[in-house]
Amino acid sequence: MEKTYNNDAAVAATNLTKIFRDFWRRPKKLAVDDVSFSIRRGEVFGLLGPNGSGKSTTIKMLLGLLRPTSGNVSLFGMSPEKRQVREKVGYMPELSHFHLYLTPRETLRYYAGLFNIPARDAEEKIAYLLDKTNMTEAGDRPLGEFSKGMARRVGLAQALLNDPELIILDEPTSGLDPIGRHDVKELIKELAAADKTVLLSSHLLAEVEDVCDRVVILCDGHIGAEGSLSELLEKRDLVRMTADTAYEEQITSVKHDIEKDGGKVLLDRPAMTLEEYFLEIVKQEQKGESSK
Amino acid sequence: MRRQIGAIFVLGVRSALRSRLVMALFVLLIFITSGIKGDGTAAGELRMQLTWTLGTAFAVLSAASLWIGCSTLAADIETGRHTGTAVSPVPPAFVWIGRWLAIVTVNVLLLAFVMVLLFIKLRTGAFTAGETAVSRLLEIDPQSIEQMALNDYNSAAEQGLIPPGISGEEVLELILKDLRTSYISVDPEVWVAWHFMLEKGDSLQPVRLKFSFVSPLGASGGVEGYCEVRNEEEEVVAQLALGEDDIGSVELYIPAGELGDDASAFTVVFQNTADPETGTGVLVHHMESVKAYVPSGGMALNMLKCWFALSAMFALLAAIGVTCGSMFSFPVAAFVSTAIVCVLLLGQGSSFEEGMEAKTVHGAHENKTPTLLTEALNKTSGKIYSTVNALMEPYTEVKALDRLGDSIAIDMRLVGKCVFWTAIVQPFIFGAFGSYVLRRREFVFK
Repeated sequence: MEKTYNNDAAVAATNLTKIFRDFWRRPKKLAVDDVSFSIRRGEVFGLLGPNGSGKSTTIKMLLGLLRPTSGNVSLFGMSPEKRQVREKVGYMPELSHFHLYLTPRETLRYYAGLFNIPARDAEEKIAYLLDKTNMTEAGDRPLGEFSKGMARRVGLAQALLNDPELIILDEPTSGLDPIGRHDVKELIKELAAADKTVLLSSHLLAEVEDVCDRVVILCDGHIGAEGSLSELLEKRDLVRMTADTAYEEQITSVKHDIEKDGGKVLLDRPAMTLEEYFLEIVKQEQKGESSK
Repeated sequence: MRRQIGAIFVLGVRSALRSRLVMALFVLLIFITSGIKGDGTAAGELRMQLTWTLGTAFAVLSAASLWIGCSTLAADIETGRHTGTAVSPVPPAFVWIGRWLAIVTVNVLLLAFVMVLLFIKLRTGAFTAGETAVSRLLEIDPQSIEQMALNDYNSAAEQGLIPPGISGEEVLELILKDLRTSYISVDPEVWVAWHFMLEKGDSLQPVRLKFSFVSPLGASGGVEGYCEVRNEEEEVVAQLALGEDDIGSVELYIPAGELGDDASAFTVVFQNTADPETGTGVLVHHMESVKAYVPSGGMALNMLKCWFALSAMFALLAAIGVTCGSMFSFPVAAFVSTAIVCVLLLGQGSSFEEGMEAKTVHGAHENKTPTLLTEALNKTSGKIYSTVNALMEPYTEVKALDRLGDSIAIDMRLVGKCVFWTAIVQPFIFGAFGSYVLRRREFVFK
C-alpha cells in the first residue's frame, strides 16, 4: 500500500554551503556546496555518499552543531537551535562517544535529565529502550567494557529516549553484526510505521535500499542525484518475471516468443542475500538451543 | 531547569569522583594533613598546622579547581562527548552552571575533608583551651589617625613648612597616607598614642595587647620606656615598663571589666623614656604596632568561616577554568586560565603599584622625562592593577588563612561580602561569557 505523507517539511535545507576555514579565516575546504533538499514528515530519507562527501557536515548543520557559511536550515519550520525543535529531535552520531565509566542505564538517565523527563517516566523508558536494543543484561556494566557494536546500541537507545519526531541516524549500523544491522533496520521500519521522520546517513547502500523512501546522493559536497528509490533504481528497458514453479517447456516457450521479436532473455534462479542466509542460520541455531 | 542542571551536575561530580586526578588529590591531601610537624612549641605547631597545611591544601585544590574546570568541558567537546548535550534542549548556561557547580562541590568537599582532619588532629593534640582560643582584633579609631594627621599639618603650617603650589588637602592626604603606611620614630621624652574602639560587650571581656616596635639596635636590642593603657576617663588601667630585655614586642593584659562596664574606647600610650642626650628613637607603626584582641568564638567557628572564604576562591577559579574550557582546547584553556590567575596574583596588594610609583618618582628625580609611550603604558598598567585589586579586594580583605593561623576571629561580614562577590557575582560574569561562547561556537569533531 502506498504510504501517505504530511506535506509539511520536517527538514528543509536551502542552498546549504559550508566552507571550513583555517586559523586566518582563509577557505580551506568546501565541504558542502549549495545543497537543497527537504524531508516530509513521516518519511525515511537516505543521505548517501562516499566517505568525505559531506554527509556528516550536512547533518551537523541540520542539528545546529555547525553553522552554514551560506544557505538556510529549518526543522519543523524553525531554526535547529530552538529549544522547541531540539525537544523533537533524536540524534545518533557516527561514533558513539560516551563517558566510559558510566553504565548504559546511567548514561540514559543523564540524557533523560537533559530532556527534562521525570524520573519515573525515565526509568520506564530506559527499561523499554534497553530491551528494544537487546542491552537489558548489559545495562549495568560500564560502557568502557563494551564493543563498538554494543556502544552503538546504547547510542540508538539514547537517540530514541525523548520519543523524537525526527530521528537523525549517522551510519547507524557501522560496527554492528548482521543481527544488529537487521534489528536496526527493523527498528527504522517500526519508526516509519509510527509516522516518525527518519534521516539516515550511510554509505552501505543495501541497508538504505531496504528502508528508505527517498534518497539524496552527495558527491564532493554537492547533490549528485535525488529522488525516490523506485524512480532512481528502476531499469525502464528491462522486465523481470519471477514464478514459484515453471516447467522447462513453459520457460522455453516464453523465451522463444520474446527472442522471436528481437528481445534478449537472461534466465537465472533468485538467490538469498548472504545477510538473509546468515540470519536464517542464526535463527535455526537459536531455536535448536532453546528446544534443548 | 532543576532536572537539567542536576543531570549535568551529577555527571560532573561522578566524572570527578571516578577520575584518577581526584583520587590522587585525595591521597595527597591526606599526606599533607598528616605529614606536617610543628617547631616544638604549641603555638608554632598550631600555626604550622593551620597556615602551612591549610595553605598547601588550598594551593593544591585551587590548581585543581582551575585545571579540572578547563578540562571538564574542553575534553568533552574535543572528543565529541559533548555532542549529545549540545543537541539536547539544554540552554548553554545550564551546561556551564552544572559543570561549574560540580567542580566547586568536589573541591569544596575536599577542602572540608582536610579541615575536618585538621580539626580532629588539633582536638586530639595536646593544645590547651587557651592555645586554641580565638580572639577578635579591635579596630583602631580612624578618626584618631585623621586627627593626628591634622595636628601634624597644623604644626607644619605654623612652621611654614608647606611648600607653595600644593593645596592643603593634598598635603593632608599625603600625611594621612604616610601615617598609615610608614614607621615613625618616637624620640626620647616623646610619647605616641593609639585609640581603639570597643564594640558592645567588649569592655566586659579581658583584652590582650601586643605592642611591637623596632628598637634603636634593631632586632637585637631593647628599649627604655613604658607602655600603658588608659580608659575613657584617662585613668591608667594597665602599665608595663620596657627595658633592655624587651626585644621586638611585649604583651599586656587588661582583666575583664577594668576598662569600665560600658566603655566604648581606650587608649594605648607608649612613652620613650631614654636619655635625651644619649638615647635614640624607637620605630613604631600607627596601624601595625599595637594590636588589641578580645576573646571571640572558638576555633571550629573560625575554621568554618575560613572554609567559606577559601571556597569562594575555588568558585571563582572554577568559573575561570570552565569558561576557558568552553572556548579553547584543554592545553590552550589551561594556559590562558593560568595566565589570568597570574595576573590576579600579581595585581593583588599594592606592592607592584607602589614599586611602579617609586620607579616613576625615582625617574623624575633623575630628570629622565618619561616618553608619551611609557607614560601611557604606566597609566594603563596602573589602571589594570587597580582594577584587579578592586576585583580581588572582597577576597583578600578577609585574610582568612592569616587570621586563622594567628587565632584571630575572621570577620563574618567580610566573609559574607567575599562569598557574594567572589563566589556569586564574579562567577556569574564569567558564566554569562562562557554561556555566550557555548551558544555561538561550532562543534567540530570526528
